[in-house]
Amino acid sequence: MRQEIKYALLIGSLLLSLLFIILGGQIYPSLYLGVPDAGGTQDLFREDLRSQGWTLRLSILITAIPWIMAGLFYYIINSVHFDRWWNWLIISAISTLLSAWGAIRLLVVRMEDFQPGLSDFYAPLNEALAGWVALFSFIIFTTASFGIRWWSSNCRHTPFPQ
Amino acid sequence: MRLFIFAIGGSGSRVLKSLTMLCAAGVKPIDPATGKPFAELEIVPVIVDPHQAGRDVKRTVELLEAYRKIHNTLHGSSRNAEGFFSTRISTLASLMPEGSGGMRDSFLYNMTAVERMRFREFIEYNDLDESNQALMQMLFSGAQLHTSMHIGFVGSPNIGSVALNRFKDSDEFRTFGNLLGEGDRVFFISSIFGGTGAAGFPIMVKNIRAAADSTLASRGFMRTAPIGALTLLPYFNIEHSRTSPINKADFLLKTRSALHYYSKSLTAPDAGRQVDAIYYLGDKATSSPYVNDPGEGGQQNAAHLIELIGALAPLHFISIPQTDIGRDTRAFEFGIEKDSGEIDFMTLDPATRSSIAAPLLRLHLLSLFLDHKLKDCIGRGFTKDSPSLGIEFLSTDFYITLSHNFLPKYWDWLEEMDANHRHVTFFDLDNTGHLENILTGIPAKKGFFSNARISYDDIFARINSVSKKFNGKYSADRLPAKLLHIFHLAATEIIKERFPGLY
Repeated sequence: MRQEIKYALLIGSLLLSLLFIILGGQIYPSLYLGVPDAGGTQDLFREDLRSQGWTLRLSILITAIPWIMAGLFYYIINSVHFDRWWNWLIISAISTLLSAWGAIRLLVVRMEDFQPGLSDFYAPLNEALAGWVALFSFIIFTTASFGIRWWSSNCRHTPFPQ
Repeated sequence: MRLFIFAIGGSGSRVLKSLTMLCAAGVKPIDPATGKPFAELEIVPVIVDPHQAGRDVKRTVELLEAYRKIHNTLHGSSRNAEGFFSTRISTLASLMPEGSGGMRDSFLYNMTAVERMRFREFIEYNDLDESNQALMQMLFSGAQLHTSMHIGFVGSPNIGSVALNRFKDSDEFRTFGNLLGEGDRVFFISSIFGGTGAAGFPIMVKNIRAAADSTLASRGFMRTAPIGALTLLPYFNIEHSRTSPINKADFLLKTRSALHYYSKSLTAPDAGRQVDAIYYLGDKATSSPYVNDPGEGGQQNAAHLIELIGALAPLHFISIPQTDIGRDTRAFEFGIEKDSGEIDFMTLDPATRSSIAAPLLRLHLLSLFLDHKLKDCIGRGFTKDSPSLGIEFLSTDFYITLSHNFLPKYWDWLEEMDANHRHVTFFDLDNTGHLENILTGIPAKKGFFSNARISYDDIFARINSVSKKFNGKYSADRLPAKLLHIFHLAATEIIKERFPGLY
């Protein structure tokens, strides 16, 4: 693959992540959380996400973890013992779970700081949001992989050949 | 520059085999003017042996054919290549313009006229008058007159000197005479204690020098072309056989008389310009005794250290500056650092070690990697770089020639030298896994971030790293060249880091 295309893919994946961070404030509050909305809890939850500035922290976390994990896979581990597609899938699963767990922990801590007991109140919504976080994290891990893998010595063809 | 090598007799073939191994490893002579390998070097070997069905000759010819095939796939007609199989080795016929003659494309000097006859038929004994027949009987024994020459001259230089005098009338000589140009050099490899080589070398040198008066295109160069020669003194032992004309007890006697003759007619200042450089090589240590078979199969002697060292002589000869050639004959000898029965790289002098150790180690690693790891790499890492290397590569003509034809012969060569006496123990041949201990007596240096271990995965990772720079740089039909090029670079990096003592 030509060098220009590799750089274009890197810049594209970085821009996508940046866009995700910038648009986080609009994305999270509009997500379908699939929980019966008893007494307007979802509206309250969305309002708190927006007004307390939790969405920016959430977006940074969801973006940072996949990028760090991708960097770890392609440039720190970067091993011929760990260069198959399923090795990549393992790292992406770890990245996804770590992001989801990190997101819940972040929200719980922030909510408890804001109002003790709030995290219990929002617990079902937090869990539903964690599902979306996992999905976003997987997408960002995939785009990050396709942005940076070209310069890895041992894993540049993982998960697919160039 | 072309180096025409006339490898005469069984010893000539065996030295040529060692030279082919060195060329496969990428050993090249250094140009003293530039300090870099010689540009435009081409070796043109001609095997001169009437016993063309002999096992030693056959093995060498097969090896040369495999080498030529591999070189052509890797480097095409380039004479400036680097790395494995980089020196171009050609037959005389292949250098002639197409359609310029019917000479067969072979590394063998065609001796059909000689090999079909008994010696007495060759000299037309029956047509001689009585007094000449009496003279022949004085010069040749009855057994020699009845010698069937298809099995060579079986230790009889007096037969060989007569039969090989036909060299000047051969197609090969005419072709050589037309190809020899300014800057080219000629080298002879022969033993002095047998029949074919001892007789052939002086006769052929004289034929070349005398051709200055012929009608050949390069007759001017025939007089001035630098000629070097490797003369092998006794270095191997042979089983005693009452029925064989080859007898170890004669070796020293033949050597003395031949040396005496050479000193008068080839190397003496008043002999005229004959040989510019002569390399004497022998070994007092007795080799393992070889089977004494002068018959149909002929000798198949195990490879020997002396042949490997002998193979360095033509490479050294190329490096002699032109200004040092043309005066008196220069004589060279070779010594090892320590008189030992076990020869590893550290036993060799530093100059020899630095010229052959790293290339041979690279070739050794290549052989091991192809055998033990390449298949596992397919679909991963460097094999997916463009052009990609798939499982079908393992069935290509190139890979089969390299992996199933050439490299097994390389292992045979190492094993034979190892089993012979002196034992050449450059590599631990039983070790195919712990590459850090692959060299005898030279453990690998510890890596900066790693332990002393060198695994196939370390080589794989290094090839991956090197291959990045060549992704897409080779066309699909040059996949073999790419594979060997990136392996060469990767192995060089590993050797420099982990075996710095080899440089």
